[in-house]
Amino acid sequence: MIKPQKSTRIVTLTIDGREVSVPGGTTIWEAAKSAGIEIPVLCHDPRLRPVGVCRMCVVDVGERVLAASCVRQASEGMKVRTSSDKIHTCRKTLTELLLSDYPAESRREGATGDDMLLALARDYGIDRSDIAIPAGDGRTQDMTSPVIAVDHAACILCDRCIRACDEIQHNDVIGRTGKGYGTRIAFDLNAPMGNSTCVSCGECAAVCPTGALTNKTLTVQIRPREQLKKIDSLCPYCGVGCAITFHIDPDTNTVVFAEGRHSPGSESRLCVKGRYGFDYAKHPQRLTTPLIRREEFYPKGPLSFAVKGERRGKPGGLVDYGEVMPAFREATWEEALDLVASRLKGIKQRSGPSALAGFGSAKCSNEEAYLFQKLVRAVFGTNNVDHCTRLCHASSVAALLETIGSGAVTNVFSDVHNADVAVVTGSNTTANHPVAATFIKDAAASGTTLIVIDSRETGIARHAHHFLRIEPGSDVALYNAMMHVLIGEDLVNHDYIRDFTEGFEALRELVKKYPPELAEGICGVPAATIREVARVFGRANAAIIFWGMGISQHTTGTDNARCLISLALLTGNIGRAGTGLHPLRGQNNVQGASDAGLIPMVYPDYQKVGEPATQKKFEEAWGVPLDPNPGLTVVEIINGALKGTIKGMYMMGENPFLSDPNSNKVRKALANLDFLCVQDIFLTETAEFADVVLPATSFFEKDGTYTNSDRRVQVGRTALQPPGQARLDWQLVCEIATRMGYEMKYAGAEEIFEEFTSLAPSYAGLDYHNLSPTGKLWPCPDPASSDGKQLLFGDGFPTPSRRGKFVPVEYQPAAELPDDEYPFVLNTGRLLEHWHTGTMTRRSKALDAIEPEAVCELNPDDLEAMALKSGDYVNLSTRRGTITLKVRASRGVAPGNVFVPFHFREASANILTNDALDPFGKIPEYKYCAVKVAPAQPPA
Amino acid sequence: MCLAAFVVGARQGWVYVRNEYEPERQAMQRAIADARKRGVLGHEFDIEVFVSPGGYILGEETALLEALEDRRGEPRNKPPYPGQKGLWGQPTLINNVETLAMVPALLKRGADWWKAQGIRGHSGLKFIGVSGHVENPGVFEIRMGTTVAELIEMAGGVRDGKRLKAFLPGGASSNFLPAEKAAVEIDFKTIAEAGSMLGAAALVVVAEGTDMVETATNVVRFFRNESCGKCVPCRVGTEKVVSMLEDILARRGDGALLDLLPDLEQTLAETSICGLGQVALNPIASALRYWGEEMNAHLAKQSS
Repeated sequence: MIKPQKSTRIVTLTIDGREVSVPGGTTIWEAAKSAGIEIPVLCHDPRLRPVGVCRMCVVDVGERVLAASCVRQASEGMKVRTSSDKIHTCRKTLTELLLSDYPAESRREGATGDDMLLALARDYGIDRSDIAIPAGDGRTQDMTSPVIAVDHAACILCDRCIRACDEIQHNDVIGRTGKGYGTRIAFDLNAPMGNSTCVSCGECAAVCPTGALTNKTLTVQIRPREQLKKIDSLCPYCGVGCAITFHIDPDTNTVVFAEGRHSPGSESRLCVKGRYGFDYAKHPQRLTTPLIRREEFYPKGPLSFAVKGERRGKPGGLVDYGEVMPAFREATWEEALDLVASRLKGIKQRSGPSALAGFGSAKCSNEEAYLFQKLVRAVFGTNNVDHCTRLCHASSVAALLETIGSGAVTNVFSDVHNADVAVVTGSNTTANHPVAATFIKDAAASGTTLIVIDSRETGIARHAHHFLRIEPGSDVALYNAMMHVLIGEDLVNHDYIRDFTEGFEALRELVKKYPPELAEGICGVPAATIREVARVFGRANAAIIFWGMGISQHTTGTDNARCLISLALLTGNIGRAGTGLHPLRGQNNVQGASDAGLIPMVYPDYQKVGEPATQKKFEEAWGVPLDPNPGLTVVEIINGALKGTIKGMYMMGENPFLSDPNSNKVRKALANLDFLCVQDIFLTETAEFADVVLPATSFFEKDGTYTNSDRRVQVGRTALQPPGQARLDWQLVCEIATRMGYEMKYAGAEEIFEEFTSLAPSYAGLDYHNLSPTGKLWPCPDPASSDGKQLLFGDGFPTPSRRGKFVPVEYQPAAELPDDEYPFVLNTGRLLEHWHTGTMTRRSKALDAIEPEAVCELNPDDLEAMALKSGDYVNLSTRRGTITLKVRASRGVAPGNVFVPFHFREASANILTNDALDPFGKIPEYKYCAVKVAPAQPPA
Repeated sequence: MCLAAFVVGARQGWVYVRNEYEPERQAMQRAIADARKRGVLGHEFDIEVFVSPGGYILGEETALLEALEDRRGEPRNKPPYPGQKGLWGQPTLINNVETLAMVPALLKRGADWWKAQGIRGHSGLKFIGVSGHVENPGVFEIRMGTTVAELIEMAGGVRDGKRLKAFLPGGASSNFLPAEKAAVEIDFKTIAEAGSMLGAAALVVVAEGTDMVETATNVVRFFRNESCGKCVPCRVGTEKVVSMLEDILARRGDGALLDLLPDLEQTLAETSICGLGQVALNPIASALRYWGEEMNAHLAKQSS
């Protein structure tokens, strides 16, 4: 969005006889609003650049003709009349002109019930049947989008959708076609909306004032807000943590529609998942009763053909409950919880605490994460507790803790607008953090130079001023060469290096060995481009670095992150506006779950296991002795299960069968467990290996706090009642703890949050009261008056020396390189419409409709060489397994590469992936292994 | 243009030519090439010819700027005016070629010479395009103060020896004036006093026997067709008036138009973004003013 510059000059004007003083640059419409005078307008919305096309807001400024107040700036001494007979006639006539072509039924009146044109008609007392202006011949409807209905007859060409698409979301899909009376809004080159490049973010429908663009019904019949209950909460999907208002039908206990809600982190924007992906909570496959595995289904093993690894029938999206449910019987809560507690206790007594382990989830709240790790540490008696952060940013966090002493972001993503240069590397931001991407795209459109570095040319690359397509896994070579140039051409910040860093000499010596010409041979980026981009970065007054899994999910993930940190330290780009290090966090609460201590080597707030004072602090708080040894990480725990050293596990909301690397190994490991309790909202692939399955609550059914990628702690509120006997996750943790002999009792989530914040200095001072309505950034020393600290480390780092450390690293190739047998490089990741293992999104009607089945992407040249085309089936094979799925041509994928999203159980990408680990972060190499591609027959 | 650029300190100029005017474009290109060779252009100031993608509305100065910036040719809200914020947001001087072309002669010969070119107390010279029912339509250079009747004679008189019925003194958007006003002296002020405007300086001549409702409908239809569609009053208003007029001409209309027209005319005039919408209903409104009985005759023939 282009924000008009407000000057400090004050102008005074008279509006309807009242003197009003406003900053220079304020429009008459805004000035009137500030004085409490409402001027009707259809085409303007305060979130949009005014365009003055509906003319409804005309006022009399004493000129030859009336002036549109939404675009006319207030000037000194101006005398404005906002109403007169003439103005009334004009506004009424404009309303009648628009109504003459308006459909008899506005879809908006049936949907959100806020049709602004019909509201104006009511204000002017216009009876539509009295309008003498003849109606036009009518216009068409376009129902091709699964989520948005287009009724051209109700379109008044106010331009709001176009600006929302171009200037808020920067998707540039909507424009106008035709001329004069024949003008229409159009998608791409006048394609049907459903066939266009529209990403279904719904911003157009959110800003449309009429029945032209409206949300379709996704659950129960969509209807006006007044008839529904409003719950201010959050999006359950990614780490951006967009603020949402859910509109609930209490009678059917259903979310009817979702709307963006104002928050500094999301500014009312949403993506397709947030706006349309809420219906999974009501899916008929929700678990509603505790389940216990029947005797005849021992020894344990997978139940569904997809999890067994068989290829049978048509590849269906969801698990067939008919296939898996016979293995379980319903149980009472008493029986199920007693069984869980006694089996876990038995293993602890027989094999010791370290034979137990727990996986928490970054989908659960801070409170649930805190209690879960407390259960594992204080009740199980081990530090074997981890969660999916291990699989996403463990290496980034390892590097950040090692170099600057803190694993969180040093600045928020929306501050990118203050940056001269933004680097986005290894991040498919438009798909994985769509709303954060809008801020980056916005900055790139208004003065920030955007450098995108990736092996795939993703959506964000389209907005880049410099796009560097690197060879997969060659990051270190590129960044070492950039630093070589920065140091060689003296584009470093000497004062910053002197005052705030250590280890510069060693870095300088190492990067000397990486001239751009050498790096070019490794990373494929021309030396001249490396030099140019290094200079652009080095000359920036403020540069910010964003990164994603393309950096972290490598055996060299920690090294990759170390390089990015060195780049920022070298140029002094930390702790000021427009600077910083921002690893874009994946899950909605991956930051919070980590903060809460779901990590085997740290207690809450990164207080180290093994430090006697810390151990004492937590032993006193929890009243039991604690294990001084750091626990095992995700993949190590799975390896332990395979070896038999891990015997009992409790999983809350994790689905490692699909999310962990090398599924064939995971299958054996899970089957090998003596006891597995899975607590989830659906019967996941992992639950097929469970002895007990506990039905839990979805995001919509509970209160809790969630910490987003910016460190913003926000409150999610109960919107729906849980189905059947499903219970709150934290209550189940308490039940198991209590039954294992450690009493846990809380009145509610607030009390748990209180206990957590008392042990986590970064969260000190935060409570449910001061977190409303838009949350706070941690740390927040003064919650009464402050939003929290946006910029960290402007005055040094939380390291023993107070300095940030350069850790120079040599380039190392990936663990498994292509060869004659497996000639392609496999890369895995996500699609915009789906979330992780698909448990939620594949049960969302709209998201499933847009991306219904497993697909992989290859470069069209490679496809042609194999005589394949989009839509054909291929077998992808690695040394670990084979999957069969459809192929899609994509120029975004470089020749020699294959991209596979990991959401699809029927063709799980992690059958293929390599479980080789980064030695520091223990993160698997999801982004690189050798694969072969062969044509396959479509499934029968 | 060089003189104008010198005055305002511009470094780059554009000549905006409609794509239909190919010989003119070529002539301009040759002149620019010649000026570059002589060192007049290409150092302190240079000129580029921009061939318009077409469209009447691109004659509106801010729509022209939009087209130059490679966007839809739609007028901007004013202020800011081009002199404040024009091409690419920079202050921009926009003039007709005619205006710029007058400058060297004025500078060379002086203001007194210029004043002396007019007659009957008016100053200067003026190019006027004459079209419609005349024997020799074309562009005429006249002395300011020449009467409309004299100009029609210069164009060979009304075609087929007919008598004059009406004329548009300043192009499609100016009000129709009846034959009795043909003695009006051509100048901005005098024509305005007569109830119309010199506007685009395009005299349209209408001979006796012409149906004024049909003629006015044709002119409003032209504006409907050329409306860019950006603002509501012009986009919807012109279409609705044309459809009502066409219904009347096809004998299937009603009298609603006469009731609606005053409000529509006011709304289009007061609220349209640019001149096109502001004046689009002038032809029918002025035609009804002088030839209301012709409309009544049409209305009497309606079948409904």
